Amino acid sequence: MRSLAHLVVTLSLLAVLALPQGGCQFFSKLQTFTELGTASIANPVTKERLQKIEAGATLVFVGLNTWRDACEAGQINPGCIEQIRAVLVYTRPLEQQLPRLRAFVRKNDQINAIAVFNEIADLISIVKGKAAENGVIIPTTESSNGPK
Amino acid sequence: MDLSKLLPVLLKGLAVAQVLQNQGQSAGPAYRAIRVLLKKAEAGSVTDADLDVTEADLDGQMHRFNRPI
Repeated sequence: MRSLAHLVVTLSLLAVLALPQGGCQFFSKLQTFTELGTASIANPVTKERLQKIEAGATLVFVGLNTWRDACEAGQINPGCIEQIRAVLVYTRPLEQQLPRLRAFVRKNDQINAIAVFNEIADLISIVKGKAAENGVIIPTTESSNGPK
Repeated sequence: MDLSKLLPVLLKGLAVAQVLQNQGQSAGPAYRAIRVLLKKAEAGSVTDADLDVTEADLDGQMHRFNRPI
């Protein structure tokens, strides 16, 4: 049976698959996914910004699905099911909020888009934090020391 | 990037690729797609059609993870 440590290595290093596609520069760009900041009237939610948060969220869910698949395959600790359930509390609202954000951005309803954008950014941050608490590192940032 | 720090990452990455392959998965397509999206976002040339593609991809990933466990 593979250990949890093996899964941590797996998820934290999904990023390595991108190295042949641009290496460090690619990771530097990924950092923008999780540093979108807070939306405001002065910093509105444009289509470009929406695109970035959607792409960032996609990357997060690719990592989460890898975790879930390994869990369901019995390759990691049995407690992973409860850990995943705890994360689902936050990922399910995302599925409801994203269509709202998309609609507001397309209508350029910035008042509502800003409110929903900030909620979604918070949820994604919580999800990444919850996953990290369980040793599952979602690789969307790069420090000066390299991918992490 | 410091090669001495990159090398251990690359070695572990080989193990990652093997695990993903064992699970019938590849993160490669997702990374490639995101790279294209980033270029468009940075160029400020995102269209509704681009958003549709991104949304479909995210919805699929999200729906898969959110199913009951």
